[in-house]
Amino acid sequence: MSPFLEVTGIRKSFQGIPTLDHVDFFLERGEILCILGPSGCGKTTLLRIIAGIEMPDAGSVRIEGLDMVDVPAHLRHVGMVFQDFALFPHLNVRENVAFGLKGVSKEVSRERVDQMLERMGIETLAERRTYELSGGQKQRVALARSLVPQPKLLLLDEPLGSLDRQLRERLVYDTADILRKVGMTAVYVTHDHAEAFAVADRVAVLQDGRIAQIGSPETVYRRPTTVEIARFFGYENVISARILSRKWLQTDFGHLEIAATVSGNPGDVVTVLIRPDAAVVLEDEKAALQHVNRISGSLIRRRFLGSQMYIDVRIDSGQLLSFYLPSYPPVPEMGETIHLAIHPEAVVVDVG
Amino acid sequence: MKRSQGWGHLLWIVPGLGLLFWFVFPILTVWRISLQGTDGVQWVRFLTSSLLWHTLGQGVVQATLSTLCTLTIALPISIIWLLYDVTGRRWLQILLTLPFVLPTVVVAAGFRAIWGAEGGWIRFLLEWIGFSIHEFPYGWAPVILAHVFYNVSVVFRVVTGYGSRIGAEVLESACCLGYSPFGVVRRVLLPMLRPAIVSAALVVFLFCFGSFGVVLLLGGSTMTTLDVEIYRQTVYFFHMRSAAQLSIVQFCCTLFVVILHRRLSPDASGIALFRSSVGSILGTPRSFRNRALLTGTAFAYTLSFGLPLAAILVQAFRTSTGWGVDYFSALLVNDSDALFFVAPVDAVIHSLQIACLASVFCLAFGFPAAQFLADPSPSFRMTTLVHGGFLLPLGASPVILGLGFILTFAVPPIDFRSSWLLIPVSHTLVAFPIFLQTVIPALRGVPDVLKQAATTLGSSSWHVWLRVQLPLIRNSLTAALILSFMISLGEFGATVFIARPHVPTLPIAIYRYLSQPGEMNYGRAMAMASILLGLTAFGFVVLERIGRRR
Repeated sequence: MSPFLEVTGIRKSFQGIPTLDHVDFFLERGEILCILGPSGCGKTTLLRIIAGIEMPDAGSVRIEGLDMVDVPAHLRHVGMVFQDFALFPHLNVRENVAFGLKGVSKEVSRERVDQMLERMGIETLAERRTYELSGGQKQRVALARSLVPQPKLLLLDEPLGSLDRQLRERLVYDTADILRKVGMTAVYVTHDHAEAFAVADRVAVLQDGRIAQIGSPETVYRRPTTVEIARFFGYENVISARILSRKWLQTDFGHLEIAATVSGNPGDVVTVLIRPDAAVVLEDEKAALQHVNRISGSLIRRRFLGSQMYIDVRIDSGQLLSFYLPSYPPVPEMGETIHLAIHPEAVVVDVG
Repeated sequence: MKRSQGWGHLLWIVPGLGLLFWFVFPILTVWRISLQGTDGVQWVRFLTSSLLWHTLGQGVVQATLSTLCTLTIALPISIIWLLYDVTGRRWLQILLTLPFVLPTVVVAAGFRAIWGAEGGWIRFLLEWIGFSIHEFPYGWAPVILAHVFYNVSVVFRVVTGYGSRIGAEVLESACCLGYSPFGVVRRVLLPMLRPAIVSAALVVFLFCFGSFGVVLLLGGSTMTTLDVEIYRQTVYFFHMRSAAQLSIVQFCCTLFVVILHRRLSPDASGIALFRSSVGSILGTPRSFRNRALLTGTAFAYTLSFGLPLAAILVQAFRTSTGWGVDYFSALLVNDSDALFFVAPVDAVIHSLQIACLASVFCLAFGFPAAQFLADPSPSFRMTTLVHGGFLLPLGASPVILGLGFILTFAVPPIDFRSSWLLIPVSHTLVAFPIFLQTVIPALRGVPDVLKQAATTLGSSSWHVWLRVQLPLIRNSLTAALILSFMISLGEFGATVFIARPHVPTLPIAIYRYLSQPGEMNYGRAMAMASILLGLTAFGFVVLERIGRRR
């Protein structure tokens, strides 16, 4: 059986500059896929192509096995939540939410709208004009409006992008809950990986118009397959190393044990990522002897982030590595020597 | 709290006094002189006269019909233009907007060139096909047609200007909610454009209701508007009292529509008449069929709106002996039987001089006024009042203004009769409201935060004005000046009274040639209309350039 949504070979250029270059992915019914990527990577264009607002230069979009290329947007039964919500300014909240309900009686329409407003917790806003709403309220109205006609597929284009961080963190879980509760199949576009991990069943990283990696949030976060993806997640510790055996690498600052097995041959030079979130501070050099993957260096910068501390360490071999450490136990002061142990799980090989 | 602005709140005084002297005073003089000894009985007789009610009734019916026809024709193309990139989009915009700044005389001449007894190449065409039209039908049809031609630009400008603020996403989201393109237009776009449509409809109604040149030239003897009737009562019958009474009625009508406009679409008043041309909301139409359909429609509009203008050019170059520039060279000759005492080409130079002066006056008086109205004032009521006062000339018939000038400034002690000042001043008054409405939105559009930033960088308020505000509004200011220039070039109603026979302006010369029989006179009228058309089109292209740079 074919998957619910199947996107194959999508290409799109604007004024000769390719925005999307052969994008493929599929989506099962009820699944939420997050398309994650930096701004300008073509994520919005991809959504607009799925919605039928934009035409691809090549490739196909199939929903339930049916080719959608010649189906205009209004007949696709694909809902979309826009970044700036695109609420109709000439209608109030209730009229906005009811807008997509066609061919149903007034009573049914009213009932369904009321139900949806209640589910969203905005039933008290029903008679408000859209300009009287706060950003978070607008987001809920936009979501409600796109859910009421019961689309087959919902597309969300940075639906929280214009909200401040606190509100975003709260609404991201609410949005995911609502989508799951109604069993909606959805494609959610964002540039914020925390948001993507919170919402998605699977995450697709879009880079330079291609899907660079697709997988569960944990896989993508823990084992990025390219240096670019690693950098996009804010990982800075990318070094080169030589394979010693299936479990051991040789680096400038000593041997590193890895959790996964290496696919290359001994003697090959590989790019290695050391995730910044898996280091433990060792009290002194003696304690360090009990751990594998020990490194020592002088602490040349520390940035206080609240619950965490972000530090830069100049290793004795001259390399610079950065790590997140818990604020407690206390992190050494600037200029002091620091001893760290890196968990083998945090050493990622096979970074392209 | 805003710091007091020093002399800023006194800026309106000089333009205000100018307006009192040059506008209120002459109009009051007309009313005073004409209504001397008019008692209640005479007023009752006037108010129940068939003259008043016939004129009013015909005016309302004509204006309503014109407005409806204009909306029917203008809305589809405005919406297509807003939504889609069609081939020739820029040309379409220029051609649809050009009539707004075209002198009435040229528009009327264009229509006569299509249909008129003198030229009538449509007539030749129709006869060639097999239809025969015997005489140019003066009356309703050509008047309404000309009004539509004229005012489509108003609707187009206002609606597209307002609509360009609508984001594509709003329309696209309606699409995603299951509405076809027609449904989107009906359920979303039109309701969102409502304020602009209402506003444009009222403005068009006002223009048609107070139409002068078009009705005078194309309406024939049975058609009338208040303005035309005022002219006829004054010039043909010397019924000064009726003219004054009619002008009071006209003033009240205008006031009523203006108030209605403020009530019905308060937020449409900020629409700038000339703003930068914008991209379409939805871009290129997708399917080939739609693209062909839309391009075809746009082409049809371009063709029908280009026709009257092309007709003028054709008539100007088509002499009895074939194609040539005979009519143009005739403009240089001071015939012994000429209508004027000088070569007609002098009218061109004279018109240009007047237009320059009028624009300078507009700048000198209009800019301080605009600056005052744009600044947040301590008293909102005061600003509204002054603003309303400055827009007054919009409500007065140019005919009565011209008459007022003759009666006020042509008699001692203030005898300006032979002064070069009168015509430029009257043009300034006519252009003044348009100048204001172009500059004020630009002034208000300068973000306060920029001025505040400049202040924190150590600029004095004068320096802020010179280095921040002026550069930011420079383009709008230039546009307003060119607009005033073009209005002056085409002004007809007031000038027809004031202009002395031997120094006519271009529109007056065209009018006189058109009212004379003979092929040569008609040809010369068309040649002059071509010159006026060329000048206006040139100004307009410059205006568009500026618009795009903004």
